Amino acid sequence: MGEFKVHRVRFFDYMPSGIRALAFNQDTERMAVARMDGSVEVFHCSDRFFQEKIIPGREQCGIEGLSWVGERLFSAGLNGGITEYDLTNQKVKYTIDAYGGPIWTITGNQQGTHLAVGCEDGTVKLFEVNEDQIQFERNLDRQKSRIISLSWHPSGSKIAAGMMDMIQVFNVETGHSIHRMLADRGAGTSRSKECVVWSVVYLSDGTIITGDSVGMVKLWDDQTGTLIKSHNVTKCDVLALSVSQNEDSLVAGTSEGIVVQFQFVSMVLEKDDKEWVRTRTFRNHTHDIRAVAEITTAVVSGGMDAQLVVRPLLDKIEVRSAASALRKIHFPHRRLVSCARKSGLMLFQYPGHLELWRLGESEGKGTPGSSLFVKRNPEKLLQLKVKGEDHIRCSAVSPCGGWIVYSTASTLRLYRLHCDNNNISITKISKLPKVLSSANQLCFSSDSSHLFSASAQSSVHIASLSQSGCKFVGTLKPKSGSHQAIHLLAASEDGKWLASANSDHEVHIYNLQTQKAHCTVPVYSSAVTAMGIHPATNCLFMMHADQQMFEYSIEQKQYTDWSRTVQRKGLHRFWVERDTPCLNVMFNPQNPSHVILHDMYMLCIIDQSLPLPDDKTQFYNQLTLKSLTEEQRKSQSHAFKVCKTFKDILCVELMPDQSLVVVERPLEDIATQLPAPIKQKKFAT
Amino acid sequence: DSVHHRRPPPVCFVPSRDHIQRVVGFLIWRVPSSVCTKIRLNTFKETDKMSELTLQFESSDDELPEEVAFDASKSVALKSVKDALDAAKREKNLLKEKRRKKQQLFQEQKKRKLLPQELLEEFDTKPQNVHMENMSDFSLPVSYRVMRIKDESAAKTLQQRATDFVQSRLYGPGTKRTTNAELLSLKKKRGASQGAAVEFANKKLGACKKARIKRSNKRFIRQQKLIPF
Repeated sequence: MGEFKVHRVRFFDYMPSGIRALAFNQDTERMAVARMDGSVEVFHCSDRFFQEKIIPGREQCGIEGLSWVGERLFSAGLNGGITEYDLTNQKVKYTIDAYGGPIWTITGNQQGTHLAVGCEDGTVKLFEVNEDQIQFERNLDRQKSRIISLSWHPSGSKIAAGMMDMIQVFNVETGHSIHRMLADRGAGTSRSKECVVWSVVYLSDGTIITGDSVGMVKLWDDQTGTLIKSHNVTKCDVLALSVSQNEDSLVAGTSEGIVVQFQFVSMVLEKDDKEWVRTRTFRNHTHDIRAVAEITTAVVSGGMDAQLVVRPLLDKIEVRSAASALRKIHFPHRRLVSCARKSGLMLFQYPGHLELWRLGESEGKGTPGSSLFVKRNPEKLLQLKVKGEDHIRCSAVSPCGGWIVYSTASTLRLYRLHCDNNNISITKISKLPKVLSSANQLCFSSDSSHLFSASAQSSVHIASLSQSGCKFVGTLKPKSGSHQAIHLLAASEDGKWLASANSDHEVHIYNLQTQKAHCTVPVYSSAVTAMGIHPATNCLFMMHADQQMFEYSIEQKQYTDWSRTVQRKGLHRFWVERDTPCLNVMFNPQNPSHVILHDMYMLCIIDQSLPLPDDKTQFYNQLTLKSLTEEQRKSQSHAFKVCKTFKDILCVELMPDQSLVVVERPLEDIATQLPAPIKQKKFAT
Repeated sequence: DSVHHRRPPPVCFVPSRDHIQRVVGFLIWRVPSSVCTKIRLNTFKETDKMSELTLQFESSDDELPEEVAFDASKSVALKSVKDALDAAKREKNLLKEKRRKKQQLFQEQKKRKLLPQELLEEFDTKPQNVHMENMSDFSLPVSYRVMRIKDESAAKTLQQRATDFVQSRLYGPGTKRTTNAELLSLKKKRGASQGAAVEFANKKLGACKKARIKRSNKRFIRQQKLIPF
């Protein structure tokens, strides 16, 4: 593997944002996740929950609910507006004001024709979903207290609303309230506070299930308007409910971080009288769970601890595979760190600002595993705050360290950086070409002379950078294919080629000298998570969400022999079962056969000159190899050299002086800055 | 001289109308409460008349007391009661009079405060000459929007109020919350590799607070001169 000096960087104080709402689209198998900072992410449930799309949020967003209508995504929040998202270009399409004050909930009917929103002023507003917009239709009868949660009856004729201290059932056609069910305030100190019905679910057989702030899951009958059964789930609040597609399973998320499952089963075998029985309890969270969703084979939950947890339901899964393991998604599937290799600078992307740091220096030599003395501490050179309320979508620093660029949903800003030993000066380039208004992804050429900006319709704009400023050079457009937004860009070392990967799994390669499309890599079923162009051979190395890897020769327009061998032989089980995606592909100029990859828990160097491991070989064999002699080592070693020393890795970079930079963000440090959790009494503490 | 068994004289003054206020409480009969309620029993006031009477007593010590007829005393008593009632009624009327006068005064003042009636009538009938211009006459550039200032600020406070509501229900009083440090420390305590609480193991946690405590300790030691220089 070789010896590397490693800079362990822990000064990127990345804080993920808590999850506020989940919405599952049954047809496309996509899970939309809304976070507290207003950003919306779309995960592909059948592609290892890869984070396909990210729409950045903004300040003071206050998003409260998400809803799919067909393939369109809508959200509503405390700012009183309903937002539709343009998922092709990954941005907000439009926002309309509902004029009801803050909106607490949004839900679409099963027919896909209407959206209902529950407002602070006590009205349930119905909006008609048209081809290109939504239009206000009418209000249902206005009530005295705020509407916290809504649920349509599958037929679309009735709607149940959870409010303060009560649940109301409305007839949608007339707008009048049919039933008014009072929620009990409970005993003890909760008697003085109003009972908030946080979530409500309306089943097709007329049962209404509610979760409230007293900690009860209650079942109501909508014919008589009375309580059927009530289950005491927790001492604190039940914040979220979700029912499965065939209405036989219900999950409830609580403030304590537990998810409770209820199933509609018959108590006696072979008898038909079914009832809702509490079955399983999942304890995968430490903080409040604000949203749960039951997808076909798993329960997805998210809350204030900012991790998305996918808990497969083992009674629904036939085969034990990667899909049947518990999955926790902590970090975004995009790079937040970019590195100016030639000048030792690192750029960290936060939602509202950028930070530029210079790496420290050490001296002396040490044995493997030891820490070296730090001669000069890393220092923060620059903090660049974003103007306006939008959050940063992407950012980059040029390899020479002279240019910084970032883009929000509405603007793109380019800065020139002068960095002497002690002085730092930054100037904003004010005259930018008009096409550079907003970018989905940004990338500099290896000699820092050009900026590549991925924008609408899967096209890439090229701008040249010089002392005089920034000039538009041309646009690269794919020959055919989708208009989905590009999420990855890779430029070759010699400046001849550029590869782009978009959300439709298409990878296009462009010839930069002719500014024309060169070729397209055959579409693979899984999304590309990382790619890089080898400096010597100009082969495009791609890593996918299902942990498969491909190497495509650009000049020959076909897969390389090594890649075909890997596909024929298959990858080792341990490699394929890893549950976090690889986010960066790097090459070592001093060792052309090496490919350096990393995911959240490991760092791996693939030596293409060594034989591939088969299923029987020991995969993690680094320690074993150390104890062997030189000859034995040669026979035992295989291509995958995995190092698991570093945990919670956000980024790995290889510097020209053969030192590695590993940016870690320990999960414990994130946990200390989360909101306060509920106090739970545990035995013997 | 023979010893006279002296009867205590029936001390029954003949109160005249003028002295009704100075009735001294020697009237010995029970008065039903419905008859009179406001007979005032004043304190004994020494007056000339009184001293005359006592002198009279002293002078008539040797003689037999006068015999006063029962009828006379009865009529006198009734008269006094009647007088008391009359006085009460007079007082009531006096207060009523005062109140009426005050009320009248207020009415006057109110009338003075209001605008003259004619002016009010004039406002009612006058047509509204000033009306809003038709908004469609304005032509603003496409990128501009018209918004009232108070609408904007009202909407913000609504959002803030809604956020505060959720915050208070989830994190406010009545909720049993603990700190993240405690949660992590408990996990460590029950975990596989048991270690110290997070506040002690993690140097970054509460670093500012620790630095502040350290500085104040140093100051205290210097002040108290605990460590000799």
